[in-house]
Amino acid sequence: MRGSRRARAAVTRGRVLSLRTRGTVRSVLIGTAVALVLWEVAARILAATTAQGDRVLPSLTKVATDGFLGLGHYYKGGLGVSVATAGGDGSALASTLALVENAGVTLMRVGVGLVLAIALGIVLGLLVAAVRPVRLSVSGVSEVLRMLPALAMAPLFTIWFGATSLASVVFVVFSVAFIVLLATSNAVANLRPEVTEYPRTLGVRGVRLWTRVVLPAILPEIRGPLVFGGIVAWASVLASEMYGLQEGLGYMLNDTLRFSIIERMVVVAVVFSALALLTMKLLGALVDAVTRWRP
Amino acid sequence: MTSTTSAAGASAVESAAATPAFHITGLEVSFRTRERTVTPLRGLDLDVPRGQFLCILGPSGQGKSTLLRVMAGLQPPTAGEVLAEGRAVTGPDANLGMVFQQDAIPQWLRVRDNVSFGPRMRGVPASEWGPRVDHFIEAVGLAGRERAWPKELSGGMRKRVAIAAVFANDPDILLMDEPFGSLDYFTRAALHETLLKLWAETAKTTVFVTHDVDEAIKLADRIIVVTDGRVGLDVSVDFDRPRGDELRMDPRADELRQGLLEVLQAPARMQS
Repeated sequence: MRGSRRARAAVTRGRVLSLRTRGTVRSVLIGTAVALVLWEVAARILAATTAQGDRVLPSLTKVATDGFLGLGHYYKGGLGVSVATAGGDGSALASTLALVENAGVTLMRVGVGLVLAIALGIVLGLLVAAVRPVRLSVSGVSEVLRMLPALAMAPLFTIWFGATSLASVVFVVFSVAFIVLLATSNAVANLRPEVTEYPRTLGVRGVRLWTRVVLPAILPEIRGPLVFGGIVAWASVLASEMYGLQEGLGYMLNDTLRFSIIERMVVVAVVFSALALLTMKLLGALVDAVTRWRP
Repeated sequence: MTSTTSAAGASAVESAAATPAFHITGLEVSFRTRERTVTPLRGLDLDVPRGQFLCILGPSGQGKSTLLRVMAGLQPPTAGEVLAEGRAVTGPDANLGMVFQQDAIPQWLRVRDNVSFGPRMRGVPASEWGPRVDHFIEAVGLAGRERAWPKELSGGMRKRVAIAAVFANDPDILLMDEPFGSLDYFTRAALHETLLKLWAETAKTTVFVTHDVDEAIKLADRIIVVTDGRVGLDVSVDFDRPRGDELRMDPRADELRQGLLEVLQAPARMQS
């Protein structure tokens, strides 16, 4: 009896066989809840069994209270509220302002860097695909550069441009533009011949062939790399803000880690991840919006 | 040198009306694949008079698509001369329209944007192409679907878009590379009607590649078969138009069909 029911279930499942890898809202919620519970259990065990457990793996309550409220320390009075009014360490207002202010700075660096990187990557990628000498000279170099651990290059940009937003932005452009460039030139190489041959027989030629035919045609294929570029932009900005910059989520993260204040670090990390995820979703939605035509 | 030019100029004036749509002499095309060199066309000569509906018939691998691509300027010849309307073909040109076997219309353009794509990209003023575009959308039966994306259309309707687009671009010569090969019988028959109607209306020289003998007999003024890299068979087809199903019973058509099938099967026999 039980066996036959299981068999029937298998058949039903087989009929609607789907290779779904993205979570539903429910599965994400459940996964998050499970992770939080596991974290809390581990924190309690560590706290009970070791002397310093709560400092290594703070409980969720400690993260939500000490961790969040401690961030007021990072508020420098940039949003029209004076530092004194905000209250500093231990004030919810100051903590919120600190997060908003620093997240804003980082967001700006990511945003500017990402836009420049995508524009530059697509233009260079099309050039690489279109002009044979450029292709031959760039492809070898880019293959080598791609193998570099990009994140380890972050200090170099601080040396070149100082501990400034410019260093961050240029570094984001450096790491993301490569991804977009390679994706673009590969996507052009993968285009079916008739996609460009047909417009050529209509008399479309020159730059127009690239901007009005090739570019829209490759958009669906470079969607994945663009979204990936969004994640890399956040990782890059984080790496760059760790070197000498005095503002931004990366700076906060680095500072909390320097003093081993894990509960504060966790709060910053959560904000960071949320913004990175949002960027990813936004990029994906943006590409989907301009490729509504795709079959 | 000077005398040659003036002589050519004089003869051009003299025979402006008689200049064929295509004048191909000694055409040779070879490809280098990884293992060997393939020469699908060797020493092919072909003249296509203006306004003719020519079908190039043959099994796959006999160079008929290669010949068409050379005529379209998409494939540079290895040797020989290809003149279209008296001018050497050096690359794709708006005067050499083409309908592809594959779904080649831009997927990101709605029907009307697709049909007007050629003239728009060539900077033709909208006042000029507007009426023409509407006319050909109507003529291929896509009126009312102007705002549809290609993905919302059937394969046959996407072919209609491609046909309307090439006519709206108004080339003198229309090249078609097995355009209806992937369509079902009824869709294909309907598209034959549409194509013949537009051909009669515009009198464009049409070169149509197919492997289907019946399709060739239904459409063509003249059928050639490419064998061994040359025009192996060249027959004119003078049945009255419009040609309907009665052609299936016509003894002369049947004789032609048998003759063509025999020629087509020869290389296949040699291969097997």
